[in-house]
Amino acid sequence: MADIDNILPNTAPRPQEETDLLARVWQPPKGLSFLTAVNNTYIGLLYIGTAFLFFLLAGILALMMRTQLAVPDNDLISYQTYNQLFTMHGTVMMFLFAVPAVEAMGVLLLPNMLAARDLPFPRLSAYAYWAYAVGGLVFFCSLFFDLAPQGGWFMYPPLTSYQHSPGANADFWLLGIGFIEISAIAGAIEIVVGVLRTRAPGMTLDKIPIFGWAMLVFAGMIIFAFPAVILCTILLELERSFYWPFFVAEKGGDPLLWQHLFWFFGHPEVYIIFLPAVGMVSMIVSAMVQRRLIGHNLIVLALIATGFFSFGLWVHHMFATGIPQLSLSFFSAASMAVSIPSGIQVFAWIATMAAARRFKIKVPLLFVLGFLFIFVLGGLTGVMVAVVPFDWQAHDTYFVVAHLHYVLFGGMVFPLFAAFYYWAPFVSARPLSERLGKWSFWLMFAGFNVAFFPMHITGLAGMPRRVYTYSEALGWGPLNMLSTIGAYIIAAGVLVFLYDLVRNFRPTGGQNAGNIWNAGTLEWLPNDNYGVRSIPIISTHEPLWEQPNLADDVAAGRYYLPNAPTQGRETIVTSPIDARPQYVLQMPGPSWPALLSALGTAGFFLSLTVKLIVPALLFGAMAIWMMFKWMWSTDPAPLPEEVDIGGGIRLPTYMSGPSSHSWWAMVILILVAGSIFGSMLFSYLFLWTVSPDVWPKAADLPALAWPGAAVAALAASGACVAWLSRRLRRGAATLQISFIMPAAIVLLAASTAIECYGQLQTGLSPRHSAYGAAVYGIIALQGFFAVVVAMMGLYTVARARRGMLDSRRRNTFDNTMLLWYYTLAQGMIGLALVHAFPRLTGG
Amino acid sequence: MPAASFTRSFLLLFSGPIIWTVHFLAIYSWTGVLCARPSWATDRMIVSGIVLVSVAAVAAITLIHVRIWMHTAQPMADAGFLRRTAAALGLLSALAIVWETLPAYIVPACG
Repeated sequence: MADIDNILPNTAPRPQEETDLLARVWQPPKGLSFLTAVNNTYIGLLYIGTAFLFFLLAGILALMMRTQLAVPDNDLISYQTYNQLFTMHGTVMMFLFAVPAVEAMGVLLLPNMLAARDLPFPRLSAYAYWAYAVGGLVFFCSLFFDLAPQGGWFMYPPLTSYQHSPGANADFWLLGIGFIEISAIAGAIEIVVGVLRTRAPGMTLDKIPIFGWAMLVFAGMIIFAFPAVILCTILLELERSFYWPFFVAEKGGDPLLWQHLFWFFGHPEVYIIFLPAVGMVSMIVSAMVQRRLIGHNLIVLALIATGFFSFGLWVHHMFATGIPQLSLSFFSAASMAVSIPSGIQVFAWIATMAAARRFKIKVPLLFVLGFLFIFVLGGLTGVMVAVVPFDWQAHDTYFVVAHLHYVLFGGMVFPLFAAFYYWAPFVSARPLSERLGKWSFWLMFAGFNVAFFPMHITGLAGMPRRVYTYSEALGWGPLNMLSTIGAYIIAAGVLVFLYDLVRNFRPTGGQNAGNIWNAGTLEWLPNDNYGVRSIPIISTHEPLWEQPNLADDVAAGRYYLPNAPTQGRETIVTSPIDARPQYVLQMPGPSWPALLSALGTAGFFLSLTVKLIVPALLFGAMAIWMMFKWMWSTDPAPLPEEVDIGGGIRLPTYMSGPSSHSWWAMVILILVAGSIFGSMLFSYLFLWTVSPDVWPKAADLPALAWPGAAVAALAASGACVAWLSRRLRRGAATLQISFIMPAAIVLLAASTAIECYGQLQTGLSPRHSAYGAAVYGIIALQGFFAVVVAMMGLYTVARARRGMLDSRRRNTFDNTMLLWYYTLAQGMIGLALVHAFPRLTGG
Repeated sequence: MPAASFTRSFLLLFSGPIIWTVHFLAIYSWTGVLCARPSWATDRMIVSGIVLVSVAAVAAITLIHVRIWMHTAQPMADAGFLRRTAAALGLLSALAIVWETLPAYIVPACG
C-alpha cells in the first residue's frame, strides 16, 4: 500500500466530505428545473433520445411511401402529399436524426472516454440540444398543416424559388434547418476543444481512443462543410423574400450555384455521418474480441484522409448537369480514391476479428457484422456510380436510392444499434437483452436486404426517384411489393428494439451496469454524475487492460482532483499534444439562460418562416437578452488563484491568451465564419464565370475613393482595438475602453455604410442582377458581423466598467478582439474582390 | 505546450491533405474558368497548367516530409506517431494527386 501511495498523486483513504461535495456540486436539478441540466450525460441522453424519435418519425414516413409504391397506379397518397413525404423523410433523417445522433454519442461518451468530468462548454451543448429539439419538432409538425417542404431534401431552385414554390413550405426548410446547423456547429466546437484540451494527463495523441479521433475529424468536417449550406440557405431565402436573383438564370444567376454550395456540404455530410460510426465500430470490435485494434494507426490515417478527400467529391452529385468532362473526371477520380481509406478500415476490422482469442457473437458484434456486409455492398455500388458514364444511366433512378441506403443505413444505423447495445451498460442500470437484440438484428438485416436490394434492379429497369406511382405496364410492381414487405420487416425489427428499451433501459447517473464487456477504455471506469472520482494518469492505449488496479485507484481518489477545490464543477485542461495538466477549468451548473435562449432562437427562426415579424423580434430579443445573462456569468474571477490537484501540482484556475479554451473556441468560430465567407466569395466568382454579361465594366464601379475610405475606417477600427489590447496588458483600462471601444465600433459600422452607399449611388440594386445580389450579399455578411462585433464591444465595455476586466482577467476582451480582427480581414478581402476583380479582369 | 507550436504541429500533420486540397481546388477552378472563357486559353494550356500544378504539389509534399524526417529530434513523447501519420498522409495525398491528374491525358479538356 505504501509503495502505491508513493507513486500516485494522492493518498487514500480520502475524507468522506470530498465525495459528498462532488456529489452535491454535480447533482442534477429536480422537478421542472431538470430542463436546466447541462451535465453531458443528461444532455447526451436527451439528445440521443430525441434523435431516435426523429428516426422513428422519418421511418413512419418511409413506410407510408412504401405502402403507396407497393402496387402500381396506387391512389392511397396524392402526389402533393408524397412530395412532402419524401422531402421530409430525407431532411429529417439527414439533419434531425443522423448528424444529431452521432454528435449526441460524442456528447455522451467523450468526456468519460477522456476521463474529463464534462465537456468544456456545458451550457453550449444544452443550448444546441434545446434549439434542435424544439425547432426540429415544430419543423416536423409542418406536415400536419400541409406546410412541409416539397422540393426534395436538397431543395434545388428554381423549383424551390419564389416562382414555383410560393408558399411557406420551402421557408420551413430554409429557416427551420438553418438553425439546426447552428446546433451542429456548437457541438463541433465542444468536441474539438474537448478532445484536444481536456484529456487525461498522459493521454498523448497516439493514445486517444479511436472514437475520439473519429469525432475530432467529424467536428473538423462540420466546421468546413456546414457553412456552405448555411450560406446557400441564406441566399435562397434572400432570393425568395427579397428577390435577390442568385439562382435566377434570366438575371445572371445560376441554379448550379445552389448545387455546388449544397453538395460541397452534402457530400462531406455523409462522411460526417459515417466517420463516428467508424469510431464506434472500431471500439466495439476491439472490446468484443478482447484484442487491441489491429491497424489502429492506419484507421486514424484513414479517418483523416477520408475527412479531407470527401471534400473533393461533391460534383459527383452533378454528373448530369453538363459540366465539362475533364472537370467531372477529377471528381470521378477522387470518388474512387476515397474508397481506399474505407477499405483500409474494413480490413483492419476483419484482421482484428480474425485475431480474436474467443469469437463469441454477442448482439453488438452481430450489428457490426451486419454493418460490414451492408456497408461494403454500398461501397461497391458507390464505386460503380463514380464512373461517369454509368452514373448517367443510374442518375435519378432507384439504383441510387439503393446505393445511398446501403451506405447510410448499413454504414450508420447498424453501427448505431451496435453502439446502443454496447454502451447501454454505461448509462443504464441494466444492459439490454441479448435475446431481443438478436431478434431485432435479424429482422432488421433481413428486412433491409429484402427492401433495398431489389431497388438496384428496379433502378436499372428505369424506375425514377421521387415518383408517387408508376404504371402497371412497366412491370416494376412485383419488386416494389417486395421492397415494401422488406420495409415492414425492418419496422418489426425496430419495434422489437423499442420493446427491449422499455423493458430494460433504466437511465442512471451513478448506478450503471458496469463494464460487462471487460472493455479497456476509460468510459468503463466507475463513474457517477461527477464522472470519475479522480482523473487518472494514462500511459497506455487500453488503460483498463494494461494499468493494473486503475479502476480501484481512480475510485479511491488516488489520482488528480479527487475533490472540488473551487467548490464548483471542474475538470483539468491539458496541453493538446502531450496532455500535460495546464489549468483547472471551472464549469457551470444548471442554467435557465441556456434553455431560454435556445427557445428564443427556435421561436425567432420559426416565426420568420411564417412571416410573423413581431413575434420573431420578441423571440429574438429574448434570445439575445438570455445570451447576455449567460455570458455575464462566464469569464469568472480567478479565485482561488491556484488549486492543488495532487502529486505536488498546483494549477491556476484561470487562463487567458492562446492557451485558453475560450480562445480556442473563438478561433474555431472564426474558421466557421471564414468558411461562410469563402462560400460567398466562391458564389461571386462562380457567377462571374457563368454570367460575364451581367458583370460591370470598370467605369460602372464606384470610384476608388469609396472602398479607400471603407478600408481606412476598417484599419482605424483595428488600430483602436490593437491599442486597447496593448494598454490592457498594463492594467485595467476601463477609461480607455469606455471611450475608444465605442469609437472603434462606429468606425466599423461606418466602413460597411460607406461601401453600401458607394454601391447604391452607382444605381446598383441587389434585385437588378446576380452581380448586384452578390455584391450586396458580401455587404450584408459584413454588416451582420459588424453588428455582432458591436454588441460584443458594448458588452466588453460593460464588463470593464463593472471591474470585471483587467490585465489578468481578459478573456472577454480577447474574444471580442479576435472576432474584431476577423471582421476587419473579411471586410478588406470583400472590398478587394468587389472593387479590384472587375478592374483586373476587364469585366 | 504553447498554442503556437501546436498550430505548427497540426499544420505539419495535415500538410499532405492540405496541399491535396489546394491542388484540387486549383485544377478544378483552372479547368472550370478556362473552359468558360474559350478565348483565354487553348486546351493544351489547360492540360499543361494542370500537370504543372500537380508536379508542384507532389514536390511540395516530398520536400516538407524530407525536412520533417531530417529535423525531428528523437526520441519523441508519442513514439513518432505524429511524424509517421503525417508521412503516411503525405504519401496518400501524393498518390491521390497523381491519380487525379491522369484524366488530363484521357479525357478531352472542355468536351
